[in-house]
Amino acid sequence: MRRHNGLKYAVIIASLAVYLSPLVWVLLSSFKTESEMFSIPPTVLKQATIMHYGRLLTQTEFPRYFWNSFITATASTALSLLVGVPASYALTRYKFRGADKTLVVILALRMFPPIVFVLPFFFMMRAANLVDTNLGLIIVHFAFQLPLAIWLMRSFFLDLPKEIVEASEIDGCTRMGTFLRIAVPYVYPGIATTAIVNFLFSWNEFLFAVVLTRLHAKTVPVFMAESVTTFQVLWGQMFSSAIMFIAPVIAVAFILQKRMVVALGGGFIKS
Amino acid sequence: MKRESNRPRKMAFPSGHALTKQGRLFGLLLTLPALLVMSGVIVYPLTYSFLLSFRRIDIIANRRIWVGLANYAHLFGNPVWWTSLRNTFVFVVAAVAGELVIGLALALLLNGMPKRGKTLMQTFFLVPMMIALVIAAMMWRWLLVDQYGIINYLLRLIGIGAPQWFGRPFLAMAVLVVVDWWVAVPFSMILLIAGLQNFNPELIEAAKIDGANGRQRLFGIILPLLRPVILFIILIRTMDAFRVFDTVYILTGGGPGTSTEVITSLGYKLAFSGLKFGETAALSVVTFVVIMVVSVVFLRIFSSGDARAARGRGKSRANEHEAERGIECADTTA
Repeated sequence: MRRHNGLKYAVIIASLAVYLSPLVWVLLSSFKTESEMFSIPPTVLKQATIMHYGRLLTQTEFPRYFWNSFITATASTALSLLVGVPASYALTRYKFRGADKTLVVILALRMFPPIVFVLPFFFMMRAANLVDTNLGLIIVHFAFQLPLAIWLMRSFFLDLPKEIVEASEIDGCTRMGTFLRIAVPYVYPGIATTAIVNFLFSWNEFLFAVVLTRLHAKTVPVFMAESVTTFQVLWGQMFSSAIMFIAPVIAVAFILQKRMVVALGGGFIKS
Repeated sequence: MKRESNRPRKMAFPSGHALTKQGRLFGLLLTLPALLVMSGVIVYPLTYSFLLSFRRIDIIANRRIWVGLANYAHLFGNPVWWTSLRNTFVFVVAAVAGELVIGLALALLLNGMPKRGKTLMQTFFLVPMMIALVIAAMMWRWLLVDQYGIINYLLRLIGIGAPQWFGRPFLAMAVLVVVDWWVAVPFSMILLIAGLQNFNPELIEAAKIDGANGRQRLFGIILPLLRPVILFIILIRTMDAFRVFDTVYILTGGGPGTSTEVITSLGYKLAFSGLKFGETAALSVVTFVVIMVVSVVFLRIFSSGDARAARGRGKSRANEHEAERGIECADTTA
């Protein structure tokens, strides 16, 4: 039995190594000199250099695009929680007329192909003079995050024991007080999960970012995509910006392991 | 699983106590901002797209001209539309099928691990899923570069020639599919692990004692029990795969020729290279209808599956119930 387990772990480690090898290879490449990068046969890493990172931070606009990505993701996530959490609570608990239907419609919204929204958003933003602004992209990302937030939070509010809410209301807490002081603290883990899901959506989103930004509000994925559309690919720049862009996300993932599993399961896994 | 087990599950929308008028008002008040936002940024754009699909935008005169169904006629007369529709379906089927098989293999591998190590391992496997598709595509492009790409080097090393990955239709599509596997396998993996966790391990042990071999255990016990989870993964991932755009944009640009053109990349080109806004709107309306049809078909399969499960609830009833509980979708679609 023991040996059998040993074999199993070996298989797990081996598949993990194969699975993550593309990422590891890019990580190694990001520390290579220009000549080693293109050497044949390829070498693992002869001489490490942080040249590409240095150039990225000093000679390109990367820091600014990174900031754009961060601001867009943070603001749209915050908005989606601010509007989505109360709505989700009300739809789950105060069953007013049409509440069930509203929830079904919200779920259906998840299925719309984004291409349907590209033109309307483009013209709306142009009319409002919001093309190439952070605010424009924030609004668009928010539009996609809101249904997701309502839907994700619903499953957490369903777990809120009725007795707690009733006790609080009997004790003279107002409805708003019950919501803010009882319900919201109870679903903190759910809020964290929803925040991760929505942040990642905005952080990684490309289609609307490329349609709605030009120079100022560009996010990192758009910046990176541009390094291929020209005649040559700026590989050194590509590697360093890729690593810098995904490093924070991966760091957070390892800090919040369990929550990350729940979040990336789309909120469909309970833990 | 910290969900209270004594709470009746079917209470999908607990209304608490009898609602007073103020209660309803309060509920509406909390929902109102969301409803307003959604009508502004979702209902309005959809209507806009629909109306635009019957018009032609004259950019120079800045006017919209009613053209009836001309945009739809153009779209259906455009062979690239049919190619991209077919390519999208090929991509969706290959991507989702592969993700399920690989995800299941990994889930079965990881399932037996002790809890602590398992969460850490899961997190490691989750890493590619957190990478933006644009970046994942760039990484693979680097791996597949003709002369100095590592994959071609390894292929040459073992004596297989190094193909022009993006020069041949089949290979280009295969690369898109593989990149999608790389990014999306963790999703099915973690959902399947959650599904596996929820059934009673004694069941499999009992089958082992009764002499069922590995294949019998897989097809006779594990897969039937995972059925709701698997259907659910197919539903969600199909919707996602239909949107494929980022990887096409970075890796193939729809080429060679139109062999990897997909719905979204075609729409993007029509709108922003061809400035055919009306035709793009028509494309999005048709895409919307296609997706609706596909999801209705899926939901049919889904609910008939649930009905069958309900009919056949014999001794495995408790386990199925448990399996469903791990997956939130059981609440919503059943």
